Amino acid sequence: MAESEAAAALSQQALRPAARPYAGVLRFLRQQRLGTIGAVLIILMVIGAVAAPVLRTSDPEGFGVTPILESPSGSHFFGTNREGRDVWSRVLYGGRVSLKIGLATVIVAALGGTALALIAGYLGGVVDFAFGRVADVLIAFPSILFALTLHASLRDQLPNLGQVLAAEEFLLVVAICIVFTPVIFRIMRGNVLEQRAAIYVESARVIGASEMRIMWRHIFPNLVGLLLIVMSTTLPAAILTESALSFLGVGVEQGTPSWGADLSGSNRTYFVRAPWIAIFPGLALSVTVLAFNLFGDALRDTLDPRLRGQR
Amino acid sequence: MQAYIARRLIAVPFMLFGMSLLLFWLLFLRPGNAALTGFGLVSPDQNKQAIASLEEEFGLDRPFFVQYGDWAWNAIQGDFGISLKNRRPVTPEIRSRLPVTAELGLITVLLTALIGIPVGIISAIRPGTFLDGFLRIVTISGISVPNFWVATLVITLPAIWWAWTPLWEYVRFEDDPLNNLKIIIWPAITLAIATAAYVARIVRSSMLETLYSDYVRTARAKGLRERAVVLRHVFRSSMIAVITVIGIQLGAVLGGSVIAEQIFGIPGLGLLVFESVVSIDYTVALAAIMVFAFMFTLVNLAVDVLYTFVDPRIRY
Amino acid sequence: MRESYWGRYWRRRRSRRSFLIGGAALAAGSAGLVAVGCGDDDDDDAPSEPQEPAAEETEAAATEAPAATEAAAPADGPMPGGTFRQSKTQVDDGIDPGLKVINNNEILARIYNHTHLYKVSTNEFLFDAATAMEQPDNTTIVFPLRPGMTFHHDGSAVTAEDVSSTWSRFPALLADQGSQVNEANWGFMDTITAVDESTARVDLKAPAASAPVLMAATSYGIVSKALLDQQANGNVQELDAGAGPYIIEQRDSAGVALARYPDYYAHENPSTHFLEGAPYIDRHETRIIVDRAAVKAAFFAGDIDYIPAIADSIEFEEFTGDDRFVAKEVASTEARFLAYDNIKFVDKRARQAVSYAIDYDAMIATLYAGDGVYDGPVGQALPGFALDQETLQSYRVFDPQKARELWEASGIEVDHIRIESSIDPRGSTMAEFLARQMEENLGVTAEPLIHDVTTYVARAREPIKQWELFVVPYNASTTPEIYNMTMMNPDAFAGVSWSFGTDQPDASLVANAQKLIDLTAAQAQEVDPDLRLQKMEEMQLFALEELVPGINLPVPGHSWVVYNSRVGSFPEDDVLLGGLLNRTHDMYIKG
Repeated sequence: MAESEAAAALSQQALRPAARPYAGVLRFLRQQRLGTIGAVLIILMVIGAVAAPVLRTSDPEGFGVTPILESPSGSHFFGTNREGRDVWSRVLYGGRVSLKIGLATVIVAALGGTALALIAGYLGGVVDFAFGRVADVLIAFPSILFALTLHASLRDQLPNLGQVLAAEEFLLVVAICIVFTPVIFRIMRGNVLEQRAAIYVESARVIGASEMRIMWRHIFPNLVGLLLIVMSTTLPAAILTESALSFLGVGVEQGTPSWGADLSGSNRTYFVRAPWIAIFPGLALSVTVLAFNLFGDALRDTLDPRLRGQR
Repeated sequence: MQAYIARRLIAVPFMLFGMSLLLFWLLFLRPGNAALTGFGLVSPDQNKQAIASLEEEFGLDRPFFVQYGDWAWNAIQGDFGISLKNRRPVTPEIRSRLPVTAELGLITVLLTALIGIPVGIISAIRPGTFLDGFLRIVTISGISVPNFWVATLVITLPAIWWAWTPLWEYVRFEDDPLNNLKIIIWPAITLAIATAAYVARIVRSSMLETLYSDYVRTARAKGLRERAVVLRHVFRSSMIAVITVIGIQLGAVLGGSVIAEQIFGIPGLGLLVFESVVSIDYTVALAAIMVFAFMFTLVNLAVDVLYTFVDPRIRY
Repeated sequence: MRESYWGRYWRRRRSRRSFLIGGAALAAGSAGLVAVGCGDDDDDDAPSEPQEPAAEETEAAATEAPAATEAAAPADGPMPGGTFRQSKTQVDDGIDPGLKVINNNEILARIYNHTHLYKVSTNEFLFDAATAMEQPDNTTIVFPLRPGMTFHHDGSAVTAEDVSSTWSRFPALLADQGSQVNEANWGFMDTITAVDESTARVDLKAPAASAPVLMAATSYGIVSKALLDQQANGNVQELDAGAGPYIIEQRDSAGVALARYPDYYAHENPSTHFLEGAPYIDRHETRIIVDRAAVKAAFFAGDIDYIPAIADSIEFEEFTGDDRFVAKEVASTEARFLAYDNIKFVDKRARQAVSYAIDYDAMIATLYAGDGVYDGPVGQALPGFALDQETLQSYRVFDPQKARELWEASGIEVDHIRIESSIDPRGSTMAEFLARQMEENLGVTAEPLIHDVTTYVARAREPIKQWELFVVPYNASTTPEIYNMTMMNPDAFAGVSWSFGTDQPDASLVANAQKLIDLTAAQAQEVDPDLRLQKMEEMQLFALEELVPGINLPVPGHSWVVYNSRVGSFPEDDVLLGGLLNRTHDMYIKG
């Protein structure tokens, strides 16, 4: 539940956009060494995912394209699995799935959660109450359980989005979004309400700005910093949820490289003999999540002025 | 405060109503049903008859709201119906599995607090030191490692290295407490890694916030020993955050039990949830998830109430 | 080794009757798997299918000395005491042998008595609750019962009445209670009568070549009539109503513990498989372990004595050369069927196209690590009836170009092929493999759909299928007609699950279905062994030629048995084929 940490760490004051973006970046690099490591790892991971077709040593979805169950070597860095697939190549492609689903989820959930928060904050009253209670209900389910149920129920009912997201991936995004949107909604709503009461909003109101304009031009920009923090903490959580679902066998299509799925199914038969097929996908997953967490931490420290100078 | 607790208590049934309705609807959407698969080899005609008679038996041919109402009425009385798959009553099944998962959850939360809080305090009182840096990296790694991977390595690697594995035949706590703990401790540790790391981080950051506040400075100025300052003033005010987080983490523990019970062979509710959800055994899935959600709701309620004891400033 | 084993088996001189009865011999079965909850590969000890072994055989066949088992008298001979530990993946769904026969074999085989068992590896009947099986004519079987057997619940004697009532209730159980025991397994019985206290007589509706084999199945366990009569729901799903060597001590979500029944009659060693003076082992424990990695870890750590469902020769290698374990390669017991949704594949050319689009040799090379053979309607586990490899190979040709031409020519309106499989590891990999083959060789899009066993069975049974192809695993174990009926018989499973029945709207489909029904019935009732072989071949060739209702995929060349070497007299040759022969009462734990 990384979101609540973001919320807890949030300051009362408005987060004002940095005057000079460069300065912010420079300060970040200077002050946040761990964050910089995280950023570098993220960049490496993105490069690995994007350039997977170049970096791979063999077809990750082929059958018998490499010798089976070979230990890590110069030609197969992470060894090979029972289907005769190179684990290194699968790890690279698995990054694509994680990144794709993680990003899609976070963007949809963040935008959705913020939009709903703005609507709730703007309309108030019954709408606010209704949204709040629905969020309560959704949050009350342990997330993995809820995503599991959603996935199982919607599995045969959703359209195929073709090239961008396979049906299974789309379904994962939907299931994970429904888990995270209410959490983001809750955090954002609290802040929308705070902002509405702030003096600068009062002044805008006094000079006759419409509520719509206030929401869009005054309140929303002030939520951007918070939104970034929330997104940076939601992303690793979303990636973990995706991999857990894939691990439980309700994730990506059979055979699609995915860090979670590669730790389950027929691979589990061979873990004792070939531990590398268990170690590397898990390691890749852990390092990726770690990188996002490091970066997210640093981002929050930088963006949240109250915490500045405490270390 | 009593009014607040009363208000929260009144909200609980509404929450449960909302949750069960949502769940019921989700499961209702799902095509197929477990009862169908019970039958052996039958002719096409028999198959149709079987489907019809089963639907009638379980009332699956009725409209959604009728089915829901019927279910809810019985559920309120503690009767969750019978399993579509094996026609056993669901309630006793849940009752026998609930203590197992509750124990796993409790031990995990205990471990979480026992590891997480001290680590957080140590980190907070020596900010910027090597130790702090080290613990920060450890804790952030802790929240980044997926529990299913850790669990897999915990059972696999020792088996490779020493022909040993922490999987034993499950015994119930009431039968053999020591052996039971020996079994439960491994999945609990696996699950506690992430939650303890999480709590440590929260303890650290919330303590840092207060360490530099005026009242702490005052406390120091009046000559209190550092130890007293930290424990009495700083830590106490951080307790709210800690309690909240432990409450929220219980959700993660409950979700994690689905995975940990599967890998470590613990016959708890988590395993039942997973099996029933994927095998379209609606009645069992519904009951098991609702029990999970109910536990989660109650814990969060308890957390809210606890606030008032920890922080006298809070008055609802 | 497989060759010589079966060579010996089939060269054996046999009487006409032996052939008739057991002609069926070995086998395959469990197609019921799907019907029943299939693909449950990593279930407990034996292939978990409805009807297990089955026996055959008469006095004549016993002429040849059966293969000696290690019970023969090793230095560290049988000794009393100890606990046998194993694992399974799911809690059972009930233990009435007439109702549920999945996920509970470790209980049914031990708490119930069976009139006779069928020992697959030596092709002989072993008499247990019955002392013999007499067949005065083609439609009568008589069982004289062993004296001295008592039921667990009240110590009362087992009588012919119990046998009669237990077996007579099969039809009612299927119709009213959702039995997993298929009609094919008992439909040949007309009436079961108790001639006197200790003699039961079964009258058959018609000559049934495989009846004695089928009657040696798990579901034929003898249930106490008195106890049954007391039950309001008419079953003993949660009760120990048996008279077998073990009684249930504990049975819950953690597993099952069985304890030796002190009043069990002592075996006077009726065969080489049974230990004299058995049972020796005091307790039998079965734990629920879901995760395969955990099962292996537990086995390596010595926490369980037997590891079920060895996936392939690659996994098998992990255990060889380690004296903690006994690892043995045995005859293959696995089979895979690729069914069409026959409504969509009404045009024969479309079915042919799919068949031509599969690279069978690549499948053997990758999925079976090179150790695989072609398979036909009657499985390779039944070499006496199975077609030879050359014949099968001529029907299993990989020709992508032809595949595409036929696909185009058929005008089939399918551009996306969904291949359903259960979540068992090999099944899901196979579905993925086939999906790739379809994409590459038919120019369609294809996706493997992996569902857990229950959902998967439900999806097979839906009237309107949400898939085009369906991969079904099953274990060889009973008789040829079961083999065919379960997977391929339109009157039964194929009709329900592959849309291949006589109730379908398409005339050609109905004609094919009717033909297969007739051919199957003809061979099952044929009493002359040579004629039966001919009819069976005719049936097989028809199915191969028309590609209905699906394709028999290649199978692994072997199966593998691995257990802890502390267990003595483990039925390594029979454990996979004959669930009932995995008898704790015939094993012992070395000191």
